[in-house]
Amino acid sequence: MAAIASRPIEPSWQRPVLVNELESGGPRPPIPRGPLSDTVLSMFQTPPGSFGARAPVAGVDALADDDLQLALYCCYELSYRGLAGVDPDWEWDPGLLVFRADLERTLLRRLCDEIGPVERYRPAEVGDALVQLVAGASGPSLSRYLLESGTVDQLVEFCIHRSAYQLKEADPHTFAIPRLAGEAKAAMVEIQTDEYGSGCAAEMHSSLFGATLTALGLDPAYGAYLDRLPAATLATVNLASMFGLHRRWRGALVGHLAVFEMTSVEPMARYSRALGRFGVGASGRRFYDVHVAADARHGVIALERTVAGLVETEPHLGADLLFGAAALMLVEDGFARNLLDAWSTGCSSLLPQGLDVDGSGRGPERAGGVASEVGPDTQTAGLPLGWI
Amino acid sequence: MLDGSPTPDLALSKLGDPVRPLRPQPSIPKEEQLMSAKDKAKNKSQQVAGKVKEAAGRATGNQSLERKGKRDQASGDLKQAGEKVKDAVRTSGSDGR
Repeated sequence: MAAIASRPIEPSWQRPVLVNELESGGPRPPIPRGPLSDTVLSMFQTPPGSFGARAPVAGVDALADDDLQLALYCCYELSYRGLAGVDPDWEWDPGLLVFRADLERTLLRRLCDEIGPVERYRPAEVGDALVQLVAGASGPSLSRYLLESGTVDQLVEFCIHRSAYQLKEADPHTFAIPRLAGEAKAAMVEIQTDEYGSGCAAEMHSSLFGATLTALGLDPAYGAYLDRLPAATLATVNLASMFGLHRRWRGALVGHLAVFEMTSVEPMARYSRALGRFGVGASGRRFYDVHVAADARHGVIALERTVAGLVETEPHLGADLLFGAAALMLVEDGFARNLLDAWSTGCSSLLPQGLDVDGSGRGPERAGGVASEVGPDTQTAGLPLGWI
Repeated sequence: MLDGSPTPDLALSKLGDPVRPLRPQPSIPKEEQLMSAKDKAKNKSQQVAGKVKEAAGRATGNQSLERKGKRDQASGDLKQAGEKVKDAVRTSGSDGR
């Protein structure tokens, strides 16, 4: 008995299938951008169970910090496609979950600071409040800019940014389905069925976006451009993942979906026309054209059935729902501003090239070095000074 | 009683214009005209696709894609110029010079 109790790794009956199987698929892990993402990515090179206590995250702007957003993205990716070479058991590793919760708290505090207190409404008024919130949006219009004055380089960059979310389109919201009931659940399934191409893989919206990337000469592989995506872009994905992976945030996830569906018709039409300006053909524009038709319907379903259904069965979730909607608008505003600010100064909105995309291995290092230089047991001591 | 549209000659004389013999129509077979339009569209789209490819290559640091985009544009430009030459030859031919 003593011998069994002292075994360092869990007994084999807890891992009945393929002990220590590593992910062979999934995107390759990104290059760390600082101490937080380095902590996560270094740990991923070791067996689960080795994640020790860490100092709390402090002093970072969670919405703008490339390092924090990448660390959170990597934690969440374990619940989607995984990362190549990383043990899938990391997904539920208690040490990693403690660290992830710290990152999430930092992000949530930042969102709350920006959004402020959310007013409470009676269930019947939540839909109207949501419509008012959407109508009050004042951010810059990226689609209008790209249609009216964007260059072909900017359009390509825009699609690279959007690959983060649109190659996993619908996936974060699917996590809501088992957590909803009645009308809200049925309506959510109806929307998601369309998003997943009504059972046809080539028609899934994520596949259609892959066709857009292909039409532009870009790589449609999931996660291909992760190293180029700044915090403001990763935040758009992480927000949906955070709401999706926590049942506690199901109200926010419904609000997030509703705003997405309610606001996409006009921008999607403009993006399609912007692509047309540069001669992109029908297959490359189809992702956007399909959304123009689909979201005109989805917006109504989301508002009148998913939102109304949720607040009817769980009236206490109205405030969360509006918080999720406001949070989406905030990160989308940040996303648009980040791109437009870079372009207005004649710069690229993508992070500098970190990897050699011609496939000849790792390219020039960013300031700060790469993860492989940091030993798996090194927490901060081996990190370049620029990160601390 | 008119039954349908007036003939062009009748319309012209009604407006008081001197009736001139119409310039002979270019004798390019319809099929060739269609091919020419198709070629032009194809060349144009090659130029445009080249531009997009070049931008994609530039954004992703993929130099071979960027070069390919430039080549496609240059090749589209050349073919487009070729189509223009063909058009010029056809026009002068139709004038009977």
